[in-house]
Amino acid sequence: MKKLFFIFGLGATTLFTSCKDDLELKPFNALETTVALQTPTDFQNAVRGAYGAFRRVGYYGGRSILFPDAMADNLIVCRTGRLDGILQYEWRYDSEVGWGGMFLDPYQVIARANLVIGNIGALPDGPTKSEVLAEALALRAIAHFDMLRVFGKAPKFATASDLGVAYVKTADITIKPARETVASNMENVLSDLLAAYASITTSTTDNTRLNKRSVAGLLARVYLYAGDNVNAEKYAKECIAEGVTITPSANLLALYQDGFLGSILFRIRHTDTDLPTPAERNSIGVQYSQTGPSGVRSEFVPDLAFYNLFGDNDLRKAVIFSTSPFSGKSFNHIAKYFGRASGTRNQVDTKVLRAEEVYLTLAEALAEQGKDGEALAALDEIRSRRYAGFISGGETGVALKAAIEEERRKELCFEGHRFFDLKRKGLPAVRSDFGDEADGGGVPALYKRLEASDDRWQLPIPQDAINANPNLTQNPGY
Amino acid sequence: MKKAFFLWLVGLLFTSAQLFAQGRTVSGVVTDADDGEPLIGVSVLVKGTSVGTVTDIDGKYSLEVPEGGETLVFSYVGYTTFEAPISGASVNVKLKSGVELEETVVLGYQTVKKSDVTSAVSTIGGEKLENALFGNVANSLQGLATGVQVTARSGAPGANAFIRIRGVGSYNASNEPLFVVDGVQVTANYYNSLNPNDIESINILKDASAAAIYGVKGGNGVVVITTKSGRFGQTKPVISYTYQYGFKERIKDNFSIMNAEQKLRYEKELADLGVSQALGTPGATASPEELDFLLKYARPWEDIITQRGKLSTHDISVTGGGQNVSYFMSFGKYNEDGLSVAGSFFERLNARFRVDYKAAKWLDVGHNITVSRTQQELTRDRYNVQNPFVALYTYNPYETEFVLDDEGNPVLDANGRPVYNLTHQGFPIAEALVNNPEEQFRDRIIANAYAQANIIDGLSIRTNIGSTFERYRREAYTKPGSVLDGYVGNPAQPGSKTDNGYDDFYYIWTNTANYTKTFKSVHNMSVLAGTELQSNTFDSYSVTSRGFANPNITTQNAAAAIVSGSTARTQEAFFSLFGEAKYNYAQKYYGSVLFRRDGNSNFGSDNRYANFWAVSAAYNIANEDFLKSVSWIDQLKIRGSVGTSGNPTTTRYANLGLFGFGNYAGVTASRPTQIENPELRWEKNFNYTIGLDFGLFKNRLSASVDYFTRRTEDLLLNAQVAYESGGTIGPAGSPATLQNVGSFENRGVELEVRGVVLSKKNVQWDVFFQYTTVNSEVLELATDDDLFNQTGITILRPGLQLNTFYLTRWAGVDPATGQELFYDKEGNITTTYSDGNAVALEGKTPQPRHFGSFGTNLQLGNGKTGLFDISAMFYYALGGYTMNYIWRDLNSDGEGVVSQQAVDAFNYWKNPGDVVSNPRPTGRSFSSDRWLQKSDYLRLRNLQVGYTFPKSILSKVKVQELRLFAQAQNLFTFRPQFKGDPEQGESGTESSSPQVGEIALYGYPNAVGVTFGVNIQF
Repeated sequence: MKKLFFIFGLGATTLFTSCKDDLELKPFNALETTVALQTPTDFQNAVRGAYGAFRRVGYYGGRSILFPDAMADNLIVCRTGRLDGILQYEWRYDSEVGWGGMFLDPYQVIARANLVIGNIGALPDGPTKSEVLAEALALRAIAHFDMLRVFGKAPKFATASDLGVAYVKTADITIKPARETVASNMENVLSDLLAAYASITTSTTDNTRLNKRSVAGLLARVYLYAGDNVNAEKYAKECIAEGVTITPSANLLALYQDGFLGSILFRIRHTDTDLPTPAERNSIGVQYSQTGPSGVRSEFVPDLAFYNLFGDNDLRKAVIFSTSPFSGKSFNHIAKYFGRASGTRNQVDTKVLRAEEVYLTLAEALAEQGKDGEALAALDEIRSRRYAGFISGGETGVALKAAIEEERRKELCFEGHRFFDLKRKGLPAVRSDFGDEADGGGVPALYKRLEASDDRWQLPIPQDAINANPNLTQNPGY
Repeated sequence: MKKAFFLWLVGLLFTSAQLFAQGRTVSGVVTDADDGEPLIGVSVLVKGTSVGTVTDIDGKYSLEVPEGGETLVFSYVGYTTFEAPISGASVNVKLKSGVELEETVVLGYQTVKKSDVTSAVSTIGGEKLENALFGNVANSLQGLATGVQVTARSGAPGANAFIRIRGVGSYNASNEPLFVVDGVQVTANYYNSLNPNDIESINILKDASAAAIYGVKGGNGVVVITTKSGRFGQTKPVISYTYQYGFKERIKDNFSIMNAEQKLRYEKELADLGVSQALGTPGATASPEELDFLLKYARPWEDIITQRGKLSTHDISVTGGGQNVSYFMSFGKYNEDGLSVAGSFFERLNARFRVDYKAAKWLDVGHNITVSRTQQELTRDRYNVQNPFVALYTYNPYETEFVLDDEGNPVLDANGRPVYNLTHQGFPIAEALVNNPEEQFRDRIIANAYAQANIIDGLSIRTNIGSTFERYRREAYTKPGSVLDGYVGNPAQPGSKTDNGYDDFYYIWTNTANYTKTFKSVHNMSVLAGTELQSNTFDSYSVTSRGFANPNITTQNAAAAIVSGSTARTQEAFFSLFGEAKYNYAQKYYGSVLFRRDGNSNFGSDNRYANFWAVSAAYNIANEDFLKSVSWIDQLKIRGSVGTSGNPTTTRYANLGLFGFGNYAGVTASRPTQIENPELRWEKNFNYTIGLDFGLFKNRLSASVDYFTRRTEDLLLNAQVAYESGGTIGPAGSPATLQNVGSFENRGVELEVRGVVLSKKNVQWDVFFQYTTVNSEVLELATDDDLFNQTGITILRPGLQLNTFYLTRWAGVDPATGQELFYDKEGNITTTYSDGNAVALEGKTPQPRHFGSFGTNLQLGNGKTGLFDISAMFYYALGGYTMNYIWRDLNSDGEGVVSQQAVDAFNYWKNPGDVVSNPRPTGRSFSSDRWLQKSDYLRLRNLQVGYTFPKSILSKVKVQELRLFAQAQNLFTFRPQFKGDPEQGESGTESSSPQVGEIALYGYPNAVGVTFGVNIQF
C-alpha cells in the first residue's frame, strides 16, 4: 500500500514538474530591447545613456584631457611619476601602443545615439521627440568629429582621398565598414550638427546636456577646424547671443573645482556614484597627478617655457598650477585637476565647451577674415578678465593672431585642445630645453619636435580594431 | 494491489518471526592465512543482523547468534572480507590479506561493475586524494587520470585548478567538466569545498557514451564524486584522526633579477645610450654619495614581501553502522598561510554527516550533508604593484621599504610609525598588504536526501532531491590613512569599505526508475528512465561606505556616508528527460543506447530544447571460452562508443537583447547591455572513442589505451565585432557578442600502463605510466575572418590548431647595428616593427600537446611487522607555448628601465659583431614571438614516505592503526626553456582573461610544499 502510494506520488509529481514551464525566465535588472524604447521617458533615459559613454577613460573620462596637451608643447613628463603615457608623449606610438580608447569609446556614444535615432519613430511628434533627436544627432556628430581630429588629417590640409573614420549612422553589430574620407566626415558632422541645431529648442542652463547654445558653440568649433571662418564667426555669435558668461576672475578656482558653472556650455559630469562602474566612473585628474601622504606626485608637469608664458599678473597662474616638492625636488603641478573643494580627489567634470573657447574661436575667425577690431574686442573680453591691471595691447594683423593663439593656449590648456590647434594650423610641436623640475632643472624632453608634416599627427588605428574589422586600413607610417 | 498487499503481509510475518527467535553461542579464532598469526580487532557479524563483535588480542571471538542466523561475516582492514556458514558452535577462519573486491564504477545515475563498463572512464580511489597539500580536490587530480589535464589556477592558498578533459572544448561556455557529488550536480566552488579526505572514489566519464546521460552539461566530461559512507554491520565505530603540518615556498626562478649595484649600473649604461626612460633614474642622476647610500641600505624585496608559507590540517572521522543503518561523519580543518607576508591566507572548516537507512525491506532512505566554511585573504591579481608578485619584479633593488633619514634610520610619522617608501611606482605594497585587507567568507552546503523503493526484484524507483547553497561575503577595507586612501579617497571622509556578496541557491530533483534482469542466465539487461528538474537563483549585493574615524572601526554603520549600494538577481532553470538501455550476452558482448532531452532557460524558445544520444558496444574477449585456457591473459576488452553531449552557455538570458540601467549626472540612464541573438543555440559535442583494456600475467601488467575524437559544433564564443558597431563591450574591453561561431575537433590518444614489479609477502612494488596526447583543429568558422581571443594574441582559423598564437615574428638582433629585427608578413626581414605584421604561428598553442605522469609505489613489510611505504609521482607537460610577459618586462630594452630588470638584460648589443639576445636598448619593447616560450616541464609532483606501526604494538594501547608520514609537493621542476614557472593557470585576472597557459603575467606563484603528518585510528 505504502509502496503503491510512493510510486503513485512520485509519478504524479514527476508529471507535474514536466508540465510546469519553468524555462521562461526574464532578467530582473534589464528590459528587453523590444520594450525599452517606447515612452518619452525611455528615450530621455537612452539619451542620457549616450552622454554616459563620454565618461569612458579613453575619451572624456581621461585620455582626452591629457594626450592633446602631452602630445604637444604644453607638458613634459615628470620623472618621479610612473612614466605612464611617455610613449604617446614622445610620439613613439604604434598600432600596439597609441590612443586605442579614442577609436573605441566614441563609437559607444555613437551606437547609443543611433539607437535613439533609429527608434525615434516610436515617439509621437512633439517637443520631446525633436529635442531627443536633436541631442542624439549632435552627440553622434561630436563623437565622430573627436575621432576625426585624432585619426584623420586636419580638414584644411586633407586631400580628397585622405581618410577619416567610418561615419556610422545605424546601430548594427554586424557592420564592418571601411574608413571614409575626411571631407565626407566633415560633411556628415556638419549635417548632423546643423540638423540638431535646427530642431533643438532648449536653452536651459543644464550644461550636462546639449542645448541650443552649446550646439552653436560646437558648430563654431567645427567650422573653425574646417577653415570656414565665416560660419565659425556666425555660429560663435549665435552662441554668444543665446547668453553666455565668461568666468569672472574671482571664480577661476571655483571653475576648476566645479563650484562655478556659469561659463561652461557643455560638460561631462563625473560623480562618485556614476554607473555603470568602473567603465563610466573615473577621476579624470589622476591623468595628471595623485596626492598621497608624501605630497603631489605628478605624471606630467608644464613645460617651463609654457609655464613662463603666464606672467605674474596672470590671474590663472595660481589657480592652474601649484608648486610643491615631491621626493626632494620641487615641481610645478597641474592644480586644475586636484579635484573639487571636497569629495574624491582628482574628480572634476570634463569641460568640453566653455564660453571662453567660443570667444577665442570668434576672435580667431574674425582675425582670419581681417576684421581685426572686432577680433581684438572678442579677445579682450577674455584678457580683461584674466590679467590684473589689464590694458589692451591693441594688436592688429600678425600680432593679433599670435595674441589670440597664445591666449587660447593658456586659457584652454590641459582641456584637450593644444595638439589639435597646432595640427589644424599646420604648426610643429616644439618643446623647450627645460627639465621637469620647477626651476627647469631635472630631465629635459628627449623628443623635442614633431614636424608639421609628420605622419604621427595622425594616430595609429589600434591593431585590435583592425583585427575585428579587416576592412579598416591603417594610417600611413605605422 | 493484491501483490503489494501480499508483499506487505509477508514482510510483516518475517518481521514478527524475528521477535520469537532463539539464540545460540558460536566462537572461534581468526588468523592470517599467510602466517597463521592471530588477527586482532576483526569485525565479526551475523549476516543480516546487527549482532556482532570483534576479535580479542588472541584473535578469538564469541557471540550469541539469533535464530535464523546462518552466516558470519568477517571483515578486517586490509584483508578480504570473508563469509563463513555457521556449521557448528566453533567457526575458525583464515583471512587473506589484500582486498579483491569486484570494482564498481559510479556512472552517475547508476553503478556498474568495472568489467561491464563500455565507455572511457577513469577511476581514482579516494586514498590517492588523502592528505593532499591543497585546500581542494581539483589540484589533487593532476597526473591521476589520462586525458585529464589539470593546471593550478595559481599558487594562492585555497586556489583551485583548471580541469580539461580531452582538451579544450569551449570558449564562452565553460570548459570545466560537470561535477556530480552523490547525485548533486555542482560547480567548482562546491566541489572544492569538499574535504578530499571524505572522498571514497572519483570516476571521470570521458566519452559521450558515459557523459551523454548528463546531456547538455556533459560536454566537457563528468567527474562523479562518491563520498565515504558508513558500513552496514560495522557495529564498532572506527575513529580516525589525521594531523599534518608543513611549509610552502615559492618555486625558485631559473633566472636572476638585478641586485642594487647591477641595477644602478644598468640605469647609467642606458642613460648614456640615450634611452629616454633612463634619464631620470638614480643610476643616471645620483651623486656618488647618494649611490653609496642606496647600496648600503638595499635589501632584496623578496625578503620584505614574501615569507615561508605554513600549512596545517586536522581531520577526524567516525564511521560505522548497524543492521539497518550506516553512518559516516567527519570534521576537518585546513589552514594555509600564504607566501606574501600578509594578505594571503586560507582556512577551510568542514563537517559532513551521511546516513543510509534500510527503512523497510523495499525501501532505502538516506541523506548526506556537507557544510563548510572557508575564509580567505587574497592578494590582488592585477598587472601593477598592488599585486605583491608584480612588486617583487618591479620595485628596484635599491629602493627601501621605509623612507630613510640621512643616517639610514626609518623616518617616523606623527604616530611614531615608520613612513613607507612609495617607491618609483608610487605605491608601497608592504603597506597595502596591511592597510588594505580583503577577506572572503564562503559558507556552503551540499545536501541530498533520497528514497529508493525496490518494487519487485530488479525494479527500483528512486527520487533524489539535492541542493547546494552558498553564501559568499567579501569585505575589502581601505583603511583611513592608508596610501591608497590618499590616492583614491576623499580627504573629508577618509577610508572606504566595501561589503559585497551573494546567495547562490540551487536545487536538483531527480527521479529515476531502473530495471535489471537476467534472462536464461546469459541475457543481462537493464533499463533506466528518469526526469530531472534544476533551478538556480543567484542574489548578490554590494555596499560601499566612506569616512571611518579609526582604522579599527570596520563596519559600515560607523561610516560617514554610504557611497554606493546595489543588488542583483539572476535565475536559470533546466528540465530534462533521459533514458538508457544496456544489454550484454554472457558478459562477452555488450551494447547500450541512451538518450537525453534537455531544456534550458538561457536560450530562445526555438532553440531551448536539445536532444543528446549515445551508443556504445564492447567485446570482452577474455570471457570467451577459447581464451579461458590462455592463462596469461586475464583481461582483454575492446570497446567503442559514439554520441553527443552539450555545453550550456554561462551567460544567462543569453538570447535576449537587453537594455540595462545606470545613471548620468545623477539621473537614470539606459544603455544596451546585450545584443539580441534569437538564433543562439546550444554548443554540441560529438564524440567517438575506441578503447582497449588488457591485463596479463595475473594482471601483473595491465594497460588501457583509448583513441578519441571530440568535435565541438556551434562553438559559443564572445566573438569580436567591429569597434565601429559600438557593440557592447565584452570581457576583453572591446565590443564583442556571444555567437555560435563554428566547429573544431580534438583528437587524441590516452595510454595508461601499470605494472607490478614485485608482489611478495612483504614487498609490494608497482610502477605506472600515463600519457595523453591531444591535437586540435579548427574545422570551420561562420565568418571569413580570423577570430581573436580576448588577449588578441591567439586566434581561431580553419585548419589551424585551436588558439594558435598570432604574433609578429622576431628575427633576432642585427649584429652590425644592434637593431631589433622582425619579419614582415611575407617573411622579409625588417627593422620596423608593426603589429600588422603578425602571423599565425602554426603549431604553437597554449595547450600542451602531450602530458601525463609516471611514478612508483613501494611497500615493505605488512600490518603485523610494520609497513614502510614510499610513493613518487612525476608530472610532465610538453609541446605548449606561453607568452611570457614577465620575461618581457624584465628584458624591456629600456622601456621599463625605471623598474627592476633581469640580469640577462645586460646582455644587449654593444659593438658591431656582437651576437646577443637583446638589441641595443631603445626604450621601446615590442610584442613579438621573442617572448613566446615553450612551456615544457617535468615536475616531481608528489613524494610521500610513510611508516605504519605494527599491530602487535598498537593493540596493547587499543589503537588500530598508526601511521607517520612525510610528503613533498613540486619538490623539483625541470624546465629547459621557460623562464619562471611554466605551469601558468591564471594571471592578471583583474586586467585580462587569457586562455589557460596563454600568458604569464604575475599570477600568485606555485609553491614547493613539505609536510609531516600522523594518522591514528581507534
